[in-house]
Amino acid sequence: PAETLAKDKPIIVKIPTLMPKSPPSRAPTSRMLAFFAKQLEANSDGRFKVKIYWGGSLYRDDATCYAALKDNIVQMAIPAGARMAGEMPEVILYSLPFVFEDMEHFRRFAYGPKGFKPVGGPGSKLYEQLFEKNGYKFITFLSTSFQNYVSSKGFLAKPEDFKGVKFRIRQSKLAAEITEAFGGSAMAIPFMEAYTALSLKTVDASECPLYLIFALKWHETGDYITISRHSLLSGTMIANLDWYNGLPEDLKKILNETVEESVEFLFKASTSMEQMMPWIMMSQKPSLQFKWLSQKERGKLKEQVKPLLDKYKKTIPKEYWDAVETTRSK
Amino acid sequence: MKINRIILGFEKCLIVILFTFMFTVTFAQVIARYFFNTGWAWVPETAVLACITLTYIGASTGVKSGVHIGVDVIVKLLPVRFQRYSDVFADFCGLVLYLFMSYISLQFILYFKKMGQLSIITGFPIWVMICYMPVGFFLMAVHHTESLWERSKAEKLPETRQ
Amino acid sequence: METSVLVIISLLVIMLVLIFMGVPIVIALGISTTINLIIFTDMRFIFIAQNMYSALNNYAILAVPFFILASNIMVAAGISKRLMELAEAFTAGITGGLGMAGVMACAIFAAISGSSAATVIAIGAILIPGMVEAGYDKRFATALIACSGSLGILIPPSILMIVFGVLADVSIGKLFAAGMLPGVLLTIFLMIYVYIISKKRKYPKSPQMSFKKRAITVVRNFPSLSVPIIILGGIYSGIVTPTEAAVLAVFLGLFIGFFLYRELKIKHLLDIFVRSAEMSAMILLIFGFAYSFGWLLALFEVPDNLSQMMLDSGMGPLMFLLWINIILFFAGDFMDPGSIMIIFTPLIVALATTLGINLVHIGIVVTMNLEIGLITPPVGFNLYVGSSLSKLPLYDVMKAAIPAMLIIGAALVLITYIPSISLLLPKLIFGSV
Ligand code: NA
Ligand code: NA
Repeated sequence: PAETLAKDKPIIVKIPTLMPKSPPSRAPTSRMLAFFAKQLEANSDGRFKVKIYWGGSLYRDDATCYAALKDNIVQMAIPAGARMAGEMPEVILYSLPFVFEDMEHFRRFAYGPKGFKPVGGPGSKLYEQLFEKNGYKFITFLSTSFQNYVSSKGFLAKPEDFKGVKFRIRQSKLAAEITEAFGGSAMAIPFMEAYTALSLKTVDASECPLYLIFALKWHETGDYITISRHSLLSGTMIANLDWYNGLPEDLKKILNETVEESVEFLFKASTSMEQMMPWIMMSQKPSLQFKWLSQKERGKLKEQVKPLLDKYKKTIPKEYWDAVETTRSK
Repeated sequence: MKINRIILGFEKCLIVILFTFMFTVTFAQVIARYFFNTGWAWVPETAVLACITLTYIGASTGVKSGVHIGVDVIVKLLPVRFQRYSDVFADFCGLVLYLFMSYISLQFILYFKKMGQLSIITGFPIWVMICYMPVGFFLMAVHHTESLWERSKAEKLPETRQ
Repeated sequence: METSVLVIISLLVIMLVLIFMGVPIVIALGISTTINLIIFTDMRFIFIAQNMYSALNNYAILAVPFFILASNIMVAAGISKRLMELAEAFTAGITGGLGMAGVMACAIFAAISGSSAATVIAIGAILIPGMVEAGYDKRFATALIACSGSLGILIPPSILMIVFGVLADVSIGKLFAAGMLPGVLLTIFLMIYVYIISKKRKYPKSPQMSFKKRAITVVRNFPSLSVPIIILGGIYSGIVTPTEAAVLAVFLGLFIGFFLYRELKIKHLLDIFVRSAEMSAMILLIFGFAYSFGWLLALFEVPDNLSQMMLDSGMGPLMFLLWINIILFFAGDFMDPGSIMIIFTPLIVALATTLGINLVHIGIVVTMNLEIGLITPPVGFNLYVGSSLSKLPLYDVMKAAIPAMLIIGAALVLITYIPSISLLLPKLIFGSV
């Protein structure tokens, strides 16, 4: 009877997200979320019922969203980057510039030596403990790609290139700090006004992964795309701690397996998309120029933001930095 | 009632200060960006904060000046005596709602304080930035009480509403 | 499905009952939301406060108090007199020229001001006495200004478009651009209407002006005309964002008022500040409560379910647009445009997205519908302002406003069913919409 009861009353998983609904959105994270919802219901034989609130229909404001998660109004959430830094300064680490060499480095940090174990890597293990201490369940990292620059004023390869360039940034203290450390000036412009501000040259440049630059049509606003891969567009998946701990063991297992499948799905989707992007963009706009930064150029830029990195070296415990170093390729 | 005039004076004073501040920083930001290719990341956040505070103050003084519009189509069809009850009822609703809002926004601030939520750009605790919220709602309730008080005094006078 | 129907009915019924009992809209909205939160969820109350904070914590919202402040400063700076003179230079010697100049002045003032109320007050206070003196029917003059004043929310900048943009996540810059052509079109329609009526009723020609005099008048009053040019030019040349344009407007108003026309005095400012804060708070407080209202709808998937019902019933985009027109017409009879915009936008956007209708276009359609609401009884703000300016009974103004209202209706039909009228300019400026 217990089992039929469980079947009658599925466990509801409410997930609010700012990402637009998929389809029509081709954004990898949107597609991954839709995939996750479908798989979780299928894998659990309907004992989980997933409800996703797309496009910020439930929460647009992060602080409110995490408060709702803690109150179990929603069961899972997908905080972006350093948004939880108020509670946990350690989360800034994975959004800092030039911390990870490439996606492979980050993959080892997050998921371990092989595959996509949700908390398989030394980094994830540290964050799992940290989040638990703060009353959240850390499910996994959901990182898609590195940020690059699109600009109408020329390539942004050397520190000199950043002088006098106005950057549109999202509302984030860290984004402002990074931009200013490179030598540019930062202006927080709401997402919906970013395209108009870029195309009218209120600002000259902005950062985003390539697929997002394309999806937002920002490549129409400037001719120069610098593949700088300067910082990670990071995301995590978290859950209400009591809700997660209260799940039966078999459902926990199903949830974790589904997360693993979904992360793999996300990686495949975004990697192929990022690689194809330059060619798709150029076929649409022939005047577009790309510049892939060399190791040396990236080194110079990293030198430029060293004071910023040093500042955060002090506020983030050493074991986190060790996890970054041990997963670096030899 | 002297205390009422002091409150209103305080609110008007705050309005002028906040408007002036919002105008100055935002305008300076435009100048800095257009002429000097620079700017300050803290401007939008602080201006929005001032705007939020301004909203609660304006809503409060607006109770006094009657800016919060309602629909009096049906009420106007009633006899004058009932019209006055409707006014009292509206003030009473306002009093209850805003006292309640004042209480829960205080709870909300304490909750954000406990959670340690920091603002996105300046990294300042959010609870400090919105601590006018319960005060503003409380003053709205005060102004509705005032208006109830005045109505009760006017009760003795001939029916004045046309 | 059943819960979601129950939620929306309960929300609307409690709110409407309170409103009809004479409770101000903002209080009715707040109480209805709170009660329904208790009935349908086991949420902690602080979520209402938290939603209130979320709603207002948005940079784009900053434009609302600033555009209201700018309008109020412009009125005190004496800009409306100059706009009338300027417009008269263009319509001199034409039958009904004064009335046509009034429409034009409203359109130009609309390009400075974000609200309709400011537009009616600014131009009406000068135009109605002037027209009556020249021999026009007082009812005609009052009704005309009430209708032309509604251009204030259609011609950019517009506070209602800012509200729509924030709620629908649509670029305010694009919405502003999209409002321009419909605004010009409606202005022309209204001017033709004045001309035809004036011919029929034998209203006077406005005094003829020599070319030289026209030129001098235009040059002398150019500072007033330069304000809309600077504001809109500032936005579309990328110097300022739409939000900052509001601040630029305030600056221009202060500059003109203090240094150019010298009609503005420091002592006026306190009053202007307080009144502007109150007007903007009226809108933003409703906005704050409506966030919880919309949040409840979202939590119970009301928009999703409604879209599904719509699709199941086979409703297409054209039918949907017609329904928007009908529902907003009735809503506009009883509620003020700001409240309607705030309460209905989340639903309309969800449905329009499902049907694949362009959100910029929908924004303009909704705005025009609300314009009509401003001049329909019993709740029609422009009618009130008009009748208080001319001391005519509301009923007379209402009746006289019917022909002009039909004209706005005709323009609305054109703009609803020919999306390219609104989408042409944003397409030209931004390359895409
Ligand atoms: Na306007
Ligand atoms: Na109406």
